[in-house]
Amino acid sequence: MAVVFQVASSLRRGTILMVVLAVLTAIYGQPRALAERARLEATARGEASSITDQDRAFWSFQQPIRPPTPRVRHGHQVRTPIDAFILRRLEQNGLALNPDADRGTLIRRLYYDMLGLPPDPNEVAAFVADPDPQSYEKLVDRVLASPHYGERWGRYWLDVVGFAESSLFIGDKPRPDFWRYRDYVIGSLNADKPYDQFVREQLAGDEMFDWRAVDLFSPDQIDKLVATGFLRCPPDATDNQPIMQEEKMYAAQQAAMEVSMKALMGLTLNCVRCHSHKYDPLPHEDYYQLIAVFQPAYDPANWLAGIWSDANPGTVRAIPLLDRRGREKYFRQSRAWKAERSTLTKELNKELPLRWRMKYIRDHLSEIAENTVRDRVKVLVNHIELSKADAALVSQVALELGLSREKLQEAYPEYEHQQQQIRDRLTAINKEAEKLPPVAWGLFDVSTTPSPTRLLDRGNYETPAHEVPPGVLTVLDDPQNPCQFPQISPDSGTTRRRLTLANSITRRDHPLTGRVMVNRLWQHHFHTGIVATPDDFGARGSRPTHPDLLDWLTVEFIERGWRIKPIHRLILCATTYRQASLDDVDKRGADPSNRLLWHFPKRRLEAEALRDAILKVSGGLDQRLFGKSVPTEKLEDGQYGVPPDHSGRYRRSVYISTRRTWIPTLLATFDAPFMDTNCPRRSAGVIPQQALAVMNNPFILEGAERFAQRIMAEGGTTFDQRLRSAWLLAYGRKPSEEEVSLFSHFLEDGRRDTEDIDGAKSWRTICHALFSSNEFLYVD
Amino acid sequence: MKHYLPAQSRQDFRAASVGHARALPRLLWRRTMLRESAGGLAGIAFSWLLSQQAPASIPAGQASFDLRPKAPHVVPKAQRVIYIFMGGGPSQIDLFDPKPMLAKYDGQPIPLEINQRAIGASNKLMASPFKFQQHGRSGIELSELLPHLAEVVDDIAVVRSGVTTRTDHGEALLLLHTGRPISGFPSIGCWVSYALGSDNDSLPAYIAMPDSDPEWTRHATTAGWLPALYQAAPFNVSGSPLFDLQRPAFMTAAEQRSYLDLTQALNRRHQQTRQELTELDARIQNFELAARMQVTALQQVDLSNETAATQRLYGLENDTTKKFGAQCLTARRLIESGVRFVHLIRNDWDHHGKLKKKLTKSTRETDQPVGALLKDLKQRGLLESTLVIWAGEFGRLPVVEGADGRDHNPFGFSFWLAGGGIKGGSIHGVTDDFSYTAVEDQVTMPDLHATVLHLLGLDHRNVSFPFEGRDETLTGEEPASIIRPIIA
Repeated sequence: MAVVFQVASSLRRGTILMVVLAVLTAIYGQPRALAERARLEATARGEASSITDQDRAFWSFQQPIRPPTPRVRHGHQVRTPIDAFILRRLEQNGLALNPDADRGTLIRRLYYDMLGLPPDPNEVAAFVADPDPQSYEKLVDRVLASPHYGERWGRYWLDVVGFAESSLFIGDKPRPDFWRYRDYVIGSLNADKPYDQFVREQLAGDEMFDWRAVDLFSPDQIDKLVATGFLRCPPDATDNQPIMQEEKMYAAQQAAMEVSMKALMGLTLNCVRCHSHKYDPLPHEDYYQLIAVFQPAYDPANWLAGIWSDANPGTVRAIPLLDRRGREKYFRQSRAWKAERSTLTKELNKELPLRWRMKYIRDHLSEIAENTVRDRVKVLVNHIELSKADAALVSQVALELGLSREKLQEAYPEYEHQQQQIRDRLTAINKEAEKLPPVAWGLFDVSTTPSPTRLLDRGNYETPAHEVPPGVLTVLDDPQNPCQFPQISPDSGTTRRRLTLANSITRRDHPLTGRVMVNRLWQHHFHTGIVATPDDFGARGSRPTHPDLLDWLTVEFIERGWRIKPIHRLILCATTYRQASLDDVDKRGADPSNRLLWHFPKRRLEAEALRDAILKVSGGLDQRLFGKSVPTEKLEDGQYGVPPDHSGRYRRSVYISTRRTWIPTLLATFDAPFMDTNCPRRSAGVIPQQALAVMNNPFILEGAERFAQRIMAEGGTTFDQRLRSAWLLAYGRKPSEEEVSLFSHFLEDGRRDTEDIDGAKSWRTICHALFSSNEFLYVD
Repeated sequence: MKHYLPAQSRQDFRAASVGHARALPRLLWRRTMLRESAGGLAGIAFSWLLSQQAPASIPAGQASFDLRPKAPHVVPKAQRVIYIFMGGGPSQIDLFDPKPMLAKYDGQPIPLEINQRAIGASNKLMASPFKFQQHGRSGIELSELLPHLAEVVDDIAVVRSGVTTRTDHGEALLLLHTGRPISGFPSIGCWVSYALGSDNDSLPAYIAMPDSDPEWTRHATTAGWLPALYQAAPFNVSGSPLFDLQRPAFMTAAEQRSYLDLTQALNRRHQQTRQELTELDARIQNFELAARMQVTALQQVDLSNETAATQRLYGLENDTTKKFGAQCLTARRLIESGVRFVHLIRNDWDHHGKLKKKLTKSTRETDQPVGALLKDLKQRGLLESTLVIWAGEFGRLPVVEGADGRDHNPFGFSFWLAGGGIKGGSIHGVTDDFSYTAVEDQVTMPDLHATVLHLLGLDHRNVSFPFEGRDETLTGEEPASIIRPIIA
């Protein structure tokens, strides 16, 4: 310290500051760390922190600018600018890209990656033999034009948003018509809908046109209404047991906001519910500004049930896909039912018993011993509304008279009759209300005059603080041109708050929207994103391995009109994507986890791709697109799955019902997520149950059986032909000599030992082994 | 004999097999293979035991996980857990927490304000229809519904001051199992198998035996964002204990072996040029493990080799106790085999009406098996290293609901622990005169979790997993203190 003072006394004030800053930096590290520390301290003091320039300087909060494409030594390996960015980092580490993968590998990789299905052997053969130098690029175009593309990549988006066709685990009521959202996603991807439009529709499709005034919806308008299902994916416990509903309303509202921000902004706001973020510049206040955006639609003071039920009667949070009169009739009727139900329920549980109780007392007044009490009660029994003291007196008297429900029913048969009448009417209403018309199970503003949104102290709805206006995340807003929420007239139908948010986050200069999406695309092509934490672009998330590449791709994405397919094409045509997956022990030291991509990362098929591949290879895949979900149920062996006699049982997995607790066990075993919230990245577990499943699961065994029949029917007549055919179907390659030898022995033994004369049994075993093998499950 | 292939091809592949005799000996796929893999198995098992790792605390981004045994932070008092979850809210007033005042004021208004969250409650007190009596040296009072537990009362510690913050089954159930009232977080069984791995390499580390709605089981055993590896394997005591365990009917054991040998031959060939992908090796091992599980898992539920005395002890000969008895006995067998965490799950304790009849039924079905489990563990010397927990997600109110039921009570309820590290014969905590609110030594769900981990030699603050930028723990940000007075 003495040194500091000595220096300080001999220098001018500005220099002193610099010295102090240098000392502080030495103690606390970089300015970024200083800012974090300051925020932590401010949070600890309970202060609302404001956003500083230093906060905005964090890499992911800066607008992406297109960096120059680097020059690299391995220029011959550069097919698209992506390769240059990748090669620069590789070269810095003494590495380069692998040579291209062979064509058989490449087409298999491309098909699984883009369509989630293996190529047919004739497609493989045609591609391998195609002399056209542009044959690969043409193949890429064909694959991108396939309707199966949307099924494959749509599933990824459904993971991101946590799509589930039921409310919550306990109860877990199915969500009517929610499959339309799944179809919307698949259709949008197939049409290469610009991502900014995709986002706007999902956040605020209902605010993009005045649907209340439209008579008959056009297909495009239905799409926009269905799109807001995005905000209906999280669990909604208010559709569960009706206890503590208020708390559950807040939870549902908050979950919808949080998941949408995770999906679109790559920011995790859960902890900001209770206090300002400890590491990111996300103040407590900002959280409730965002909540205020959703308040008119998810308003605890004006709540709509998600799913119609006995406990939640009335209007469902859904837009009937009917003409205007039909819709108005539905809304009118459901409101009337709710009102009538509430009256009837009150009558049944409160007023009716009370009246009969009073009658009983009236009829037994003579049994009351004390005169004063009797006289008082004589007056009281002619009233329904009583003061607390009077009510207590009546209760006391009733107790003394030994009044009970049984006694009442015994004494007055008419009482029972009246009760039954009410119950019958309630049942009739329920029956009527259950017949929901076809609906867009989405979101809309329930009113234009929502209850005020308040900051919740420590996230507790029972301790609301001051009112918070709608707003976007401060750190992501444009300081020059801050986002303004419109003042609207109460009769405008909707508040346009969500549309304002959507427009703000689809700004061309938005720091996160493009980056987050491009990173998701990269992740599915290469197994890991440029940012390894796809839902956390904040301080605690991973830093990008190739920040310049991420920015280059982001700018490219936005400049190409937010279209996704051109980005796919850029990536798929790059040498980085086309290189062999071969590992090299000598290179491992420089980059053991292959984050720099010196070889193509091998990947395990996701549960859906595995199931779909088995269906396709065994010749049974039902390729119908879209429509109602294939139901699941508890099967005979206790597992969940598609009923074996259902007509949709061979459809692609993306069409299987996503009721939370009824996810097919086979898919769950291979890491299909249990949708608690969402799933930004699938895990690839290695568990013994997977081995048991491929060994014994009826679906796999049936697939093997059909595969074997297919080989015997279509795979030629000789052993060699059939083996070749099986290998081409399952692996996309010919069997090696060793394999021919091994399997011929097996067949020979099978014939000798088990009298499997036509080989049917042996072929079933061979096909079963192919489905069980790692080569089937992994893509190079 | 009809030949399958034309003569020419037969000759071809015979020639090929001779030519490759050295490169690809036939032992790869047939009888000899069996012997070899048997030798290999011992090797695997041995390396399994040697490869003890440090306890759980994982760097972000790690992608491979395993179930190898891991050493706890300190020498543990308990090594395994049997968790008997009695879902629905067992009535502490009628089982563990006698209140003479209730009998005195039976039928009268409770002189306390009943929180409005309890929707089905009246304000009229209802005395317990069951008698209480002191038992054992400790003199702990238990209801007449629990005669078998009474015989081992000196081995259990009754906590009478449990509190939770939710009144709804789903949310309270999540709180009890994951420490959060919202879904998405891992259950305690998953945390324990993540932290400690398994001592058995041919059974899952965490096994759940459901006797109820699968939704409840899923809820109570979910791995949340922990790797699926740590999720509970549902285990049935009748039929096939694990999913996909049984060989298909059309396949003989020899045929299955051939199938496995072919698969493994393909897998080894595939692996040769993909050595960097260590999970391929794990997959190859898993086929052998799965083959063993087909035998070992079935052995676990084959109770016929238990002595007649043991079968009687668990009440297997009695229709009322048979089902839960078989589950409790299987739990002991699993624990004996080194399974880390066994979770018994029922949900028949939600007695809103006809409490007397229904509670009698629930206890008749479970009391003898639970008592037997404690006795059996003790006589085998397993109790001192096995922690047994008996708990529901909340208790019930002292006031009547309807004519003869009780509504949920999150403010004061009872549960008990026994075995590994627990001071038997102790009582912890006190509720008010009516068993409505815990007034002394409240025990929260995070307290219970911290205590369980502590007994397993783990510090609840240091068993963590990176999730969304945070190092998440079972107890999270809630304060959690170990229930010291019930620890031996």
